[in-house]
Amino acid sequence: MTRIGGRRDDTRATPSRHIATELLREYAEGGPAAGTTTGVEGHVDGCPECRGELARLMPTARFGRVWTAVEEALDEPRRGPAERALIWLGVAPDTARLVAVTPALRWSWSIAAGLVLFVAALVARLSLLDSPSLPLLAISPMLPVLGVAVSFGPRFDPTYEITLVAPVHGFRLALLRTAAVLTVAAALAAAASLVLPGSGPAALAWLLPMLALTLVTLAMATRVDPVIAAAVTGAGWVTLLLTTTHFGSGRSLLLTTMGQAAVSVVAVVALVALALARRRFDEKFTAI
Amino acid sequence: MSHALDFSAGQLVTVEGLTFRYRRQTALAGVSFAVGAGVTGLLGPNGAGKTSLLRILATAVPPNSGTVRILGSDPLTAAGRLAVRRQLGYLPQQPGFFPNFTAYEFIDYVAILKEITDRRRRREETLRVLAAVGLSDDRGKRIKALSGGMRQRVALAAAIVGDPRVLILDEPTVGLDPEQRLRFRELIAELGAGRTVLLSTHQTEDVSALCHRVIVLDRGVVRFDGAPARLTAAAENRVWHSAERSPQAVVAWRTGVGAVRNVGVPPPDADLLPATLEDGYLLLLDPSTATEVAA
Repeated sequence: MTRIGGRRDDTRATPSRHIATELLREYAEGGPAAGTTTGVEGHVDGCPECRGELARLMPTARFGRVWTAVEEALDEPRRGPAERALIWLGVAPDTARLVAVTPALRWSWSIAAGLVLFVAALVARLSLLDSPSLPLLAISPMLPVLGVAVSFGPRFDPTYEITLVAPVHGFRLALLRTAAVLTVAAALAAAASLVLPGSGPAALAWLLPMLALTLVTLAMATRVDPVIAAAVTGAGWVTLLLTTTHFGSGRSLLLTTMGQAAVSVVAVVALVALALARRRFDEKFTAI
Repeated sequence: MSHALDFSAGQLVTVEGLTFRYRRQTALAGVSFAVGAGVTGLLGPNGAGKTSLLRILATAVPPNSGTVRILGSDPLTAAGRLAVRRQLGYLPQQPGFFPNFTAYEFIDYVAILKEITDRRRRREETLRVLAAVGLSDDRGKRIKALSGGMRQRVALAAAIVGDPRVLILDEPTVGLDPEQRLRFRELIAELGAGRTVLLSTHQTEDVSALCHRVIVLDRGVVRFDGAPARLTAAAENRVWHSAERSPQAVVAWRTGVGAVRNVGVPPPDADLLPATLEDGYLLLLDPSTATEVAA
């Protein structure tokens, strides 16, 4: 409702009562009174006194508004490509920010991971292996494992301590960051797979091990330092490769349906262990 | 006395029988106290257990045994921990930053961590805390370009995001020059009005200037718990001047004017000096005088 205040100091004005200066200022600044546009404008239209007062208030108000907008624009956090992509995909800006600070989402990390995969794909293409998918199978799953290792914990996250004691849910944060790391690694590996000579579905044989190894690392990180978790997972993966692969031909049990099924079981077991230990993400020094 | 009773009696932070082992060392060996509103100083030498105690209170790490109640909640349970974290501000001993963030961006990020998801409210809160620590004009500078004192102010601003009722400050004045330290004391004194502030320090001057209460920790045990004036009073008639170091002195040092300031049990004809909190603290840490001073 428009507040019509007392008399200003005018005895000549057409209407006997004027709009309070406070209300006019609100209107000029686009504050609550802006919602009563019709009432204010209707009065101002027929009242030279209030019109003059509004004109006097307007430049300052506009300046204030423009200045506030400039300040906000200058303060606004700068967003990198990963963060902008997440927001474009519909992720809430605050969640996107929590994910974007993940060390493994930095350009340096992605470029390094991309180069490693490119070399692996090149080796596969130039080699005489029966199964050219082997180099990618061996290397790709380790990328998100390393990414997880450098994304959590006191060693790599400079804000680890304040993140740990913040009310934001540690498990949710861990999953968000892991998902981001996993997505980047999977996209890079998929791109590398494209250059493999026609090996069919086997070219994507790295996908399930990638998922399984990441889940195993994350589940272990609820108990030990993420770097140790990644090292143990990596050692386990190398051992598995050595015992199930004939390196002369490049054939591996892990490239068979049976091998992929076994890896899936490991992924499910790790997922269950992770779900059971999720509370530890909020309480232990060793977790995120 | 029950914890509920402690809480209703204004004891906002209560710990009882806390023990904690860190890297095979006993950091806390049965610590108990209760504090209410105001600034309480935690004084003690390196390795006394101050940081371990503050990290437990900040919910960064659970104790090996003992109980903790903060604002009536038990941080050792999931629900209690969340309740505590929503009311807690923490400045760690070595606060970390994203060096490429501006001060504004960093505080905005901390506000997200503290569940302030509404953009408008987050901006208001970010500007408020930056103004509170005197960084409004420098908020657009990257943290890597800020001086040590300014970074410490960013860390303090991060701690007070969300206007927490309990503030845990681990050596907030370390590395600051005298002028910065005075500014920090002023800030902390303001924050202490109506809040519980627990701060650890090596500086007895900080405690004298800021704290209505001091808890002295040594080797994981509380050696003293009371008003700083009481610890100072315990050193009265135990500080004296002499030309050379007195054999009765527990601690002695040659001052800038050439005479030796002795702290200990003075000889009968000693030239006594007014005691300071530091004198009381030094006597407390010496096994030969500790019991008497603590009493």
